[in-house]
Amino acid sequence: MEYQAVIMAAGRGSRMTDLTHDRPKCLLPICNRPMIWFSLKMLENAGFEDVLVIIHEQFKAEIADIPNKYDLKIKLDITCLQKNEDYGTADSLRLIKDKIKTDVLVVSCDLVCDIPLHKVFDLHRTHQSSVTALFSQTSPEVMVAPAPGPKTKIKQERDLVGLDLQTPRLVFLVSEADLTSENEEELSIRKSVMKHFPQISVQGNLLDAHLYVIKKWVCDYIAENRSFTMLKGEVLPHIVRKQFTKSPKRNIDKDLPNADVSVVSLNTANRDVFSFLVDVEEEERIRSYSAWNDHRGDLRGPYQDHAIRCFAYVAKEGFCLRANTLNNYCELNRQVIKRWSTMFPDEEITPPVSKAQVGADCLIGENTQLSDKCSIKHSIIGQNCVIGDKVRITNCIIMDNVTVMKETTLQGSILMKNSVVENSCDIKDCIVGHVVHSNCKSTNEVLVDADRLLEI
Amino acid sequence: MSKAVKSGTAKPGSEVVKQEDVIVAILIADSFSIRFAPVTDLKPKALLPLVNRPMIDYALESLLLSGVQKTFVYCVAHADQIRLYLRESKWMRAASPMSIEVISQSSDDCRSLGDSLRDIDGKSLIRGDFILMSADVISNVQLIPILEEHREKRKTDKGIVMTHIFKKSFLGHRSRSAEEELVLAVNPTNGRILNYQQSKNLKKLNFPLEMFKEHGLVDLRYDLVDTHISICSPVVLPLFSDNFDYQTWGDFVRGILINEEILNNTIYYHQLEGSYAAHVSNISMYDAVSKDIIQRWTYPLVPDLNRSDNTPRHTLSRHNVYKQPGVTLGKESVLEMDVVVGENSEIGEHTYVTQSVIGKRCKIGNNVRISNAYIWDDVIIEDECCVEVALIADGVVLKKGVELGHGCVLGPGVKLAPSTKIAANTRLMASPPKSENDFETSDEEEENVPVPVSADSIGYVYHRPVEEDSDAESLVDELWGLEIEDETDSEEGDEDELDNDEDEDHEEDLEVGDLPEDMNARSFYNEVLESLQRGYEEKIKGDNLVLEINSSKYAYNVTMKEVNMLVIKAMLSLPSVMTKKGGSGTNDDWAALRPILQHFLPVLRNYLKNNQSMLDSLEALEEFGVNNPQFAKITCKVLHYLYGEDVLHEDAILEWHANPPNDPSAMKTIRKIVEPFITWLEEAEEESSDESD
Repeated sequence: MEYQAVIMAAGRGSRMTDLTHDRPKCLLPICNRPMIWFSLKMLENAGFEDVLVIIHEQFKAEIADIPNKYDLKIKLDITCLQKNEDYGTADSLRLIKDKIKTDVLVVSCDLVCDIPLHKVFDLHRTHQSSVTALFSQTSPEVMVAPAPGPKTKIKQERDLVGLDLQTPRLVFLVSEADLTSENEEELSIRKSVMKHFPQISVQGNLLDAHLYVIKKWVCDYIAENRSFTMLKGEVLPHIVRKQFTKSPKRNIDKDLPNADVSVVSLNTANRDVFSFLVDVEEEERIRSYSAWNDHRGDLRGPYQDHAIRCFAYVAKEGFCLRANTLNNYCELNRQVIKRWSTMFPDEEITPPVSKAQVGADCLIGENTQLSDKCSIKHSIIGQNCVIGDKVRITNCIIMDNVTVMKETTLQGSILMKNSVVENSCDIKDCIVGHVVHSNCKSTNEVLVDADRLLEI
Repeated sequence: MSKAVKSGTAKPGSEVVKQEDVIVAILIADSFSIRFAPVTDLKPKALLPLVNRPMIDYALESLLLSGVQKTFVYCVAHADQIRLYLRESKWMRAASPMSIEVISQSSDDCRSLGDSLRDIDGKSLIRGDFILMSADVISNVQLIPILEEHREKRKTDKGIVMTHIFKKSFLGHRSRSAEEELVLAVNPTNGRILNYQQSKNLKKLNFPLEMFKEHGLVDLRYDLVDTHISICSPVVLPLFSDNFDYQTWGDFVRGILINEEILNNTIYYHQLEGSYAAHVSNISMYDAVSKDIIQRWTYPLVPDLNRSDNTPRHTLSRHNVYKQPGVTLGKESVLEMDVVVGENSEIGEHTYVTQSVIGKRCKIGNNVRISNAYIWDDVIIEDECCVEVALIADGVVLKKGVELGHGCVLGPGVKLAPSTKIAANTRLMASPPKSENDFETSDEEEENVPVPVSADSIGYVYHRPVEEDSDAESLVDELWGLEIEDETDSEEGDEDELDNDEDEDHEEDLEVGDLPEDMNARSFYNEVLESLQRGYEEKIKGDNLVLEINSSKYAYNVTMKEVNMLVIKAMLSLPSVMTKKGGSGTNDDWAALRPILQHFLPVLRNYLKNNQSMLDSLEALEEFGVNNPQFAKITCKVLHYLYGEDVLHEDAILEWHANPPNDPSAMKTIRKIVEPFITWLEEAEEESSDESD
């Protein structure tokens, strides 16, 4: 077993709370499959036989059942968090540290991607990378995709990714938001970094897939270092910066007054990151026998003599999107249904059997009754739904057990599980989570239970 | 694409004269610097020989080879000499495929590139795109394709003002001038320059975030070298005229980029592929470029293809040894490699020459050792001299047994007496420095009468005049130029050191980076430590120190509790900080600490006013003891002293002792150590309470 896979599925979906108040994000449907199915499928396709999954306890049964339900061969090893525990991704990794025996692939449950993972692994393996991250080029139309619910300014979380032009080394990684808040609108790079990497390509339109291959020693480091909570926000930038730190041959503790140290490191047992590195000498010896070098232009050894190195795999082709915001969630539904046959050739989706007018790029769940005279375009309808006469549905996501009564028009909306839309409504760009009474007209609204609103 | 281009010769009557008709270049025959002083005191830099040919020849040749038809040579310093030289040269002949017009500055105050371009603008000679180049540039670049590229870009971008040419050259390459180091942010898809910074004195490079937002893809390039060649749109000249702040090319680029949104002007870059271009900006670059010419990187601008007609061609033999006719070589003399020897020069017996250029009519004696030296015309070097890494100007005489240190520059006419030894990196000139230099430092005024370097020598040490607006920065960059060959090594060394420093800095950053609140605390702590140290050394009054510490407190936004704790810690660590060694664990520590505490009593009293603050300080004391085991032994003494001085009240001490420590295992030791004091205290209290009863 060369790699272990971990799916982080305990995310709360904090950027799409309208959808996630009673269901975890990982179980929200994308094309009538729970979101986590896509990560499981991707891992199964990549050849994983089992996977560690971190979820909240109350959904354990439901998630454990997914492989059965959808005929996946992959075995789940589920670790539960208590209902109200909020664990960051690094915390979660620390939680399962005893189960980690080798390098791990960490995947977020909201990733849908058809980029062949073996390429990421190849990169990781070839360069003995400490952390390898997957990035993909985001298409501009995804950035401006419309979303239902109240109109808010679409704020894409962008990262500035600095890549070496010669090698796929990750030179720096900062989120734009961090810079804006801290650094007065400036990105600052130390000159010594530029001396190591004189050509840096800074890319602002890359999507971090939150898919990382992490060396075992980095996991140990995370496990030991309790100040880390998030992989993306803390661990990754930290490791990326550590690339440029010289591994300490000198003994720092000796020259500094100890008082100094105590001020900084509350945790006196903090071990230096380099003490976690394994097999460095071995690796250096092997490399010393070879004339190979990964870069040219200076006299430094391969990898600039860095013991810690991070790489980025930038996927030029293929589909890759995370359902981390409402926009992306809607966009994912639209995109995946379009690409279904190429992305999942072995997974058949039930063709709609009905006399209703069902256009292209539509998906109708099992046991859903469509009346004869309804028209459905670019929409996904879940299981056990009832769609009445003369209903027109365009660009909608309708989850399971939804009833839409006659002569209603639905456009660009999301209908949550068990919701009902009565006669002759006209609903546009809304999120519906309860019963909408007859003749209702709404645009850009969140129509959910009043009592839930109180909760917030 | 609007205006038709005309050189001075185009007839005004011809209606449509296309831009392609005449390709115009402006050659600025001055570098507006004193990098080459004192050599350039009498001779313009453009006429200094570079591998036995005046520099300007290379520049003109470069332009000619790339198809330029009309060149304006703009002269500032020693304009008459340049004019005279060009008049005699092949360039002014009727048969020359490139016509040359020499223009001198119209006013005397031309001190920069900006001034000269404004002057040229005033003369309204140029109406189309032109090539702007400095006369100390050597290149074999084909400029016409780049010019066409520039025009092509104008079809999509009307605001294009300049395409500047860069050469890729990695760090540590000899053609990189440390002085002109730059970082460029470019948009790789369209070739626009987005940001330009001279990075020589910078440790960190800052880029506006806006730039990354606007352009999804930005390349940051540290591997480019400025070639000082640019393709300019005609609008460049008026732009210079409009803004008198534009002095250098860098000013111009920065100005354009800043005003981009208003004026919508853009600058593009062109990266050379496979051709050569370099700018002789200082003496180390002179060295690098000379070697490039000798090693034929600049082909066809090499000595054996010298097209200028008044000097005979060099013949090339293996190991890049070039000789002009009339060279006499003594018995067993060796021209090892990369050597150029000019016309009618004589080299004596057993003389060894390598990687050097020797000018015309030189006389080199016997048993002389010359390496990495640039020797100009009519130089006499007598027997047993040693010249390594040096620049020797016209007419210098080195008598028998002279030894020059590395990096020496001898100005024209210097004569050195037998067996003179010159220290490394010295610049000598033939005439004593002028006394009108009022910027000289005071100790020199004391000497007043300049003394030659040795008796019977003509040679005075040259000191760079301190420029009016020079600060430490500009002095540093001039020092760079002093080193010739050693530069690469020393640069490496510096770099490593820098790296180390920076890495260390950075490490610290990181350690605290994980705990953002602590970063402030740490900075605060360092500041307090500094204040206290200074306060103790200079015996500053307690009140002032309190003021200082308080202002730090606000600067770093630390809580009062932290202040209390950190001040105590800083005081306790002061002895070890000042002596730079840890405590010995003996009573000496206490002896060292006691006067310090005594001095700071007012400060302590100021901070430890109420019970809570005393508890804080006790906590700090405890933590400090845990982290410094050798200090633990004297904790009791410190406690006793502070109690005795009424800084800590017994209630606080007892309360502290009664509460369980935060870190049970380690703190126990401290508790144990202070046990006797506490019992004593308790007893005392009992007694006092007894008494009161």
